[in-house]
Amino acid sequence: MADSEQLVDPELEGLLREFSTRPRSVFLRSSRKDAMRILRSSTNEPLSALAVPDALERELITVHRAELAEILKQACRNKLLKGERERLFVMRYRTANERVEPVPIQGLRDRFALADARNPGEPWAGATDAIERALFPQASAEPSVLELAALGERLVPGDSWRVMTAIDQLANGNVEAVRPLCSAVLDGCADVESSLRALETIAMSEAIKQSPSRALEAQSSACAIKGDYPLGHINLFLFAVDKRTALGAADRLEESIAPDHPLVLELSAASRRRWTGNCGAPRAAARVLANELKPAIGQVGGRLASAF
Amino acid sequence: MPGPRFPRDGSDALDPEQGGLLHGDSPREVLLRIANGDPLELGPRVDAHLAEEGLMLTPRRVQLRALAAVAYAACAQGAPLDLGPWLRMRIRESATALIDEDREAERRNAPLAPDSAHFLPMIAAFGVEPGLARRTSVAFHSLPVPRRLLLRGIVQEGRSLAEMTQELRRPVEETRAELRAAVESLERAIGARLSERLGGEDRG
Repeated sequence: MADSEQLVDPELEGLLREFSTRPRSVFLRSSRKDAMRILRSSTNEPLSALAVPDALERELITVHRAELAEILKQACRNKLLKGERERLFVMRYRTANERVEPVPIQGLRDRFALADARNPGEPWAGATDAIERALFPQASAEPSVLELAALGERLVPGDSWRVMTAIDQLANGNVEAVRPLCSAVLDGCADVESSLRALETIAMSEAIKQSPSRALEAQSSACAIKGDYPLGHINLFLFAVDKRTALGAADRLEESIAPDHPLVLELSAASRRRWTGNCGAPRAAARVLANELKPAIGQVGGRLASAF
Repeated sequence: MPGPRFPRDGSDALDPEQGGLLHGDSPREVLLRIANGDPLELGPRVDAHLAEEGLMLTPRRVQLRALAAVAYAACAQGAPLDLGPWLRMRIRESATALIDEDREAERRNAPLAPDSAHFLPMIAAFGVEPGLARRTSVAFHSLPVPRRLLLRGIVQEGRSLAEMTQELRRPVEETRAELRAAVESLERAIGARLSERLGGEDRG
């Protein structure tokens, strides 16, 4: 009968032998200047894991790194959902029935403390230092979504960083940054959720740039991916430049969501606040169209059109 | 073809009297226990997840990542009260992370491992060159779940379009159109025609 040593996976034996022999190999430094370059690039190498030869240790490092990245991601979402300008662009709904609440910052700090305590060794010291600086900032230097996302992109490259940065840039008036970031997502066989968010963000940026037909084109592509979804039809209605599109979207909305649904109310209020702030206010032609169609657009459409 | 074996509930793995596999001071300590002989039955659980989600990743690759994820999460969160759903979540996270990694590697044109073992399911199912296997995998895993399930059923499980139509309870024309759309998505992504094994006359 084999002894217990022989039963252990050989890869795992390698892992055990190599405990505490790792050089300090991860060190995150991400200047504000470089952040956008990193996020627009599709060639970012994830840090360090490939340099670790043993399969299971590599997996452990990757999992730890993913946990740190997830904490950063929640920190970004927190800012996008709670920021004064950002929440005019980000609705707290994944679907009409699924509301998204920001993770309390204390929860993130607790999670980070746990991750830090479980740090299996030297290789992560630099990374956790950098993230600690990001999550526990001095009052005068709170990191932006752009900076956090650039850090996250270096930890675990992925489309969610690009999409969150695009939304952040949109909310902060840098509309021209949106399309390159979202195009980087759409050019790379993105997953359905990322493609959808990228297209919605492009649509919103085009609406702000007063290019309703481009906005409509992007939103129509999003609707083609997702199929029937109320937020998609709301956007189609808001971006509509012709009667047929507006009436079609209004009909779909009437069938799929109640006029007093919080999503409709919050989105109408956010649109009104954006437009009052002179951010992508509908052109005169859109207001005329909304007025003309008022008797035919149902209660949900009527509620949305009231924001015009 | 029989589906993956359903794993036992594994509740003894949580019981300190039975060894308390998931109780430990460090991820490596837990990893050492759960990597030895698959006491949590991650193998069949991974197979079940791949089948349910229509994924065509190498099971061993998902299992390795899931082992690390389980060891890490057990130390960070404590052993779960209900093992099955908790392990399913770890496996889901692991598979998603691997798909994301492949997508990013493909984007930056990172070199493929010489043996292409990670992408054998793609080579076997679609008959693509090893050099195209990762790109095919990325494109396949970007498809919506229903299309993945349909395509996987045909190319990996060897089922006919008629069988899939029956299982999905949809009109045959709809299933055929879905299959055609899925194959065309892959062909566009890899810039090549896929082999005849994709369904022959069934592709319609």
